[in-house]
Amino acid sequence: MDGEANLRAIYLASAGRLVAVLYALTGDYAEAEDAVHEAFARALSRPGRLRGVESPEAWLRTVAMNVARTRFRRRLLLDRIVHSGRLRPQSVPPISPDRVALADALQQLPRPVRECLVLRYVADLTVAEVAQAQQCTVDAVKSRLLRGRRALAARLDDKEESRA
Amino acid sequence: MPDLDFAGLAEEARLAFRPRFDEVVRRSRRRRWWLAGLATCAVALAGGGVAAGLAGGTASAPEETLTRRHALTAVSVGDVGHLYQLVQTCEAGRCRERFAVSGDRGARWTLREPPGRADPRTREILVAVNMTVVVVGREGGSTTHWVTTDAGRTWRAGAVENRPLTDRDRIAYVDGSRVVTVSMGLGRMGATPTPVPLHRARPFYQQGGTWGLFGYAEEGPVEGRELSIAWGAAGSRDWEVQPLPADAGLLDLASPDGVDVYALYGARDGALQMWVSRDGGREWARGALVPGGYAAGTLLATRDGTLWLSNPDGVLRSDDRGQTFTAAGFGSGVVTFDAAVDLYTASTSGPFPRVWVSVDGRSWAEAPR
Repeated sequence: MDGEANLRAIYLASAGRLVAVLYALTGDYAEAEDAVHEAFARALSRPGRLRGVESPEAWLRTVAMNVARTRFRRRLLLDRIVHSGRLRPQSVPPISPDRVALADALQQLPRPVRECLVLRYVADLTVAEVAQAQQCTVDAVKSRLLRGRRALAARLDDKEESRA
Repeated sequence: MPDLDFAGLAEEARLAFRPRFDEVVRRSRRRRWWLAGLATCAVALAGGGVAAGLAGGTASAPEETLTRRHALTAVSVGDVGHLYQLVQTCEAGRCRERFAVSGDRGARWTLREPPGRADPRTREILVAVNMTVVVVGREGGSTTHWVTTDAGRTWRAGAVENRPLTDRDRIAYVDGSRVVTVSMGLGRMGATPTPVPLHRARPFYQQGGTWGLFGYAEEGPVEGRELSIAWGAAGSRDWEVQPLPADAGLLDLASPDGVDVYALYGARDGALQMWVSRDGGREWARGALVPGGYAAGTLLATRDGTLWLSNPDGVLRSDDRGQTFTAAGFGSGVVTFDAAVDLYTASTSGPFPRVWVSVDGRSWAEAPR
């Protein structure tokens, strides 16, 4: 099997999961797809990079997250320059409103807290794996998870109350 | 407290995804195209060589980088930033030929697709100058010459054009009685206007527009006769023919400047006899007799005046123009030498190939294995 065929198999098995993680992180489904495709494209450009990697999906997730972060920073900078609010309209995700509300609420959290929540509950990593990915201690991850869940609950509560 | 259904979010987002691997392939190609463009600009800005490793791949197929390889040919050197070798890679029981390129003097090799059909196993690198390379592919009764001007990223079949030759032309091969050339950078092929006065001729020297060929002045029924050197110039109609010391037993020829010429012959009992000429082959004198048991050897004459001789026992060096030789301390078995304007190489092929490089022609360093 050559490099492209290998990567295609990895793509078919893991791209959906990665898009879900990136969607939860960015709140933008098109952006999530874009970042994941970019990560796979980088892997395809340099097949040697994936050789020797213990978990290709973990490697691709890290690359996609970095792509999303970089794009977010660039957009923020452009936003400041033109003072026009959000430059790029968010895409409408093809999922139910409750899930969209949860993804939107995640975007209100500080980035480290959001990333811990998404890696733990959407990517289904263990606390130790999240700590390794985030380069922090297990206690810090636990603290962020607790704070994040509380903050999310409060935000979603407020939303439900205002609807009522 | 509202339901924080992360699992539901993950599942719905996953199911909503429609795979589009063609998008990945398209982006990857665009990415390599941009990187190749950036590398070209950087090379142009820096005067060459600096950014050769920046380009991540080809515009046509994914590339892989490796250090270990099964080499099918010796190394051909285009310049200090371009070493080439045909190699074989095997995966899941299927082996195929690849065109390997090294930008770091043989430490790492980038695999590119070789020209022509998948596995003719009869490819050979004929000439390499900078990023211009000519590869011959033989299959059945047909022979095709392939040319690249971008170090193997893209290939095209080379067709000999009727055009005037210039100093930028390098000998690619000799076809019967005509010398076929390739122009550096452009990859256009041409041919000498008049026939070469030698049969079964092969090039051994080309520098500064001067060409040196060797072959038989007379064709015989089985072997040729009058083994000779022919000196000429790109586009020239005149050839100066000088006979070699003997017809039988020639192993290799080398010249650093077109004036000093060294001819290596097999002698009795597997020894090697060096013949030396100081005037382009008009007169010959015996040099060192190197004992050995196999009568096999190759030569390299570097511009600083050092003569290197490889035989099955290792590489020998001579600092007195072929009169005496001492062990050089590197090489195992007979190595194949090659030279570019700014780098010399010595290499072996096979499953555990080795590569040595020299910038000054005096000291050698082995590439990591």
